[in-house]
Amino acid sequence: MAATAGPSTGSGDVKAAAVAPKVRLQSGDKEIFIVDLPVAKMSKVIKGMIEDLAGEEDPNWDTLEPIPLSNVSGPILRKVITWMEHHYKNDGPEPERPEDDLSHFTDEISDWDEEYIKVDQGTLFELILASNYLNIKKLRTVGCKTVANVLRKLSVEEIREKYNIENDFTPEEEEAIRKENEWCEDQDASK
Amino acid sequence: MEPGEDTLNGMSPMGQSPFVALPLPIPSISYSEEIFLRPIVTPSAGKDGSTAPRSLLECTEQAVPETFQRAWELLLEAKNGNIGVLDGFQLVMDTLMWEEGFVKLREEGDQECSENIRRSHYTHRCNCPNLTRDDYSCTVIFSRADMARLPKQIMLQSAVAPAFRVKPHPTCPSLSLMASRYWISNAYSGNLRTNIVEMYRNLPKLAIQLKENVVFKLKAIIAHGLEPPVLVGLDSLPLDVLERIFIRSSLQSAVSLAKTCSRARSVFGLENVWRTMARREFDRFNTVSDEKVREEYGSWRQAFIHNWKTRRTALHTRTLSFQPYTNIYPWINGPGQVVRPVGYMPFPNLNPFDEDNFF
Repeated sequence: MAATAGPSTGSGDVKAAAVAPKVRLQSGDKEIFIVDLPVAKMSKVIKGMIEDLAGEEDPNWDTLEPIPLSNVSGPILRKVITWMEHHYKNDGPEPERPEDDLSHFTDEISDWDEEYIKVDQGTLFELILASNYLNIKKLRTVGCKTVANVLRKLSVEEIREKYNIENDFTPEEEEAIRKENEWCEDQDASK
Repeated sequence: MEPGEDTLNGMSPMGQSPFVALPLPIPSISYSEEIFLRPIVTPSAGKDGSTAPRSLLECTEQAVPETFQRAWELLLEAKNGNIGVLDGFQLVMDTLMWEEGFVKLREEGDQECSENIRRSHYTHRCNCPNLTRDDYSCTVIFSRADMARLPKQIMLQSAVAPAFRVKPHPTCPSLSLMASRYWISNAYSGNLRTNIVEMYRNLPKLAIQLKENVVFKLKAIIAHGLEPPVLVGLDSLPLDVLERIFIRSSLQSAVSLAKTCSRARSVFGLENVWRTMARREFDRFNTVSDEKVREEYGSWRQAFIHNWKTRRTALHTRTLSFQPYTNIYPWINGPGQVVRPVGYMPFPNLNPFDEDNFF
């Protein structure tokens, strides 16, 4: 198992880096990433695992076992860590919000996130899956928004083609779903 | 453009190679020889008279394996010379898979008359005690593409067993499967009886592409610790992620997505999707509880539809009743003539009889 240094923290994070303990994260393909504890805790799953591993007392972080993240590959975990580091440095920890809170509901994606998410479709899906698994809501939202924004421009057939969806409807089902959605065929009432 | 015309130089109607390159390089995976039998290569006499083993991959523009030619003639005979697009491709696919050690278990056609889609189920002839039969089986789906932009092409949609698509294990081979949809040359459009020469000529290229894009991948997936790829399509995403995509989509996009497949359709029926959409679209629902909505409308979906229709009707009525350039200043009836509506004084501090107060 080769230890791999994680992406470096930015210069503005020197203070945090100097005091924050570091945790080791292990990807599904056994790559090790060393990450600042507060950054790693942006993932609710990692946070939970750390709390479980650390227990009540302050642990010796250097000897703590790497946290296994078997469902995330090395390249994807590296990218997720880059996202967490940037947002921790710029936005701080993600505030707790209820699932149905619409007060921050927006279709916009920040410039940095837009640049970050410019990846091929496979990587985008892997990032969404990883953020879902790691429970990083903001990153998952960025991924879902990106897909949703692309959907706006596509017809049914184009969505199937672009996103590799197999049409498993029978002709009867296609007719049924067409009728189900007849009410919104005329779009002039939408905002 | 006539059928087959574009295949003479290997270009698609879009001016691009019909063989779509992978966006990501295939990782060099050394798959285990113990798991797989060596590829079955059929010894056959080529046109050069040699009896050296020759597979479809090895065939050239001049020499196509005799076994394949025989199979082709048998198919022609069985179909009375009228071989459809998918029939021809099916034969090539079966032969290639067979050479790779995969045996066809069964084939499912969708609507024999229209022949839009085929599913072929294969299993490998390996004998490994650690594996179940399902572990090294696969399904190849290919269909005729009916898109206006790319007419008469065959689409090889998926070469991954459905069971693989739902297993949540991101692994290395998944990267090589990200683009598992390939546009195959439309060499076989129209009546193949007249295009048989073109088919032969295109076989080497087609065979190589299939080897690289499909068969190799299948072997890589299966041999690489039997860990399946994560996904090959949007519909493979977990339900809660799909739900969030719906929530983030506009109404029109959500409806389009729901029309793509049954999984998307079922997610579109979820209460949470409609609750969020209703609250996003109509402020009045922000403080309304689920119970209240169910009591009043039956469901969040019905609530959304009802309010959406109401708003559309109101908007429609308002648009029809709008008469431009009338009643802008209701207290003015004409130049210098003032009419004061009863109980209405627009500017109470102004003298309505002074013409300077009007502009």
